[in-house]
Amino acid sequence: MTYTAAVALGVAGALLLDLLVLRTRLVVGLAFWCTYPIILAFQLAANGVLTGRGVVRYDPAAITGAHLVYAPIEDIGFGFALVLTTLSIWVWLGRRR
Amino acid sequence: MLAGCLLAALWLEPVLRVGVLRQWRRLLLTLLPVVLVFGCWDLAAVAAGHWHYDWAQLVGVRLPGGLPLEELLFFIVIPVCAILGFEAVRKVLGRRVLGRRVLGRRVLGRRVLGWGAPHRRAASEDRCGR
Repeated sequence: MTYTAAVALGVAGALLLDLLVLRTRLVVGLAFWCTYPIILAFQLAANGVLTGRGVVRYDPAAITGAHLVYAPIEDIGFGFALVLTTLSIWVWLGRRR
Repeated sequence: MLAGCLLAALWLEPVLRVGVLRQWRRLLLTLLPVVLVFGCWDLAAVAAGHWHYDWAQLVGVRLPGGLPLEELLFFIVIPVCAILGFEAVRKVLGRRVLGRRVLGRRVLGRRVLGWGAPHRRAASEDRCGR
């Protein structure tokens, strides 16, 4: 499996968790979409430095080859899945109490 | 860099009083599955050769499984920053909504900000449909 395929699975999994499993439905709300661009901006900056300096190196065969600020475009999906999963669990735990 | 990220988000706790760090149990319970799942993804990606690290630019501490210490810190710092940012946004949005009293706290609180019970909302939508 390529990184591209893994990211597609990861994003799908995060969406599934938010919409159907925990039913926090963050992706249809305003708060998440106001937060995400801020996180994305910081991600692009930090990830740009890490990939630009070569701290993390990617196998060209595992990615599409499209890059954004030095990082493979797939990293956007990885970050999205990480952030959505985190916030979904956080909100879900907050509701249970 | 990780310290920079943390500094960029930590001020939200005292300034906006989001109360994220005060709810340390909820925070730990959130971090645990995230660290496990995404840590496993990281391990699998390194094993599959999707990416590798330049150890010359890392502090050099290897975790069990071979991941650099920085990766574990990354999976802790980024979620904490995301939650701080999210709660700050919710707080600011909620404040503006309350200030304007446009649709009332109940409607916006549940629908837009994602608070409250989703099934109750679904039930009321059903009634509207009929």
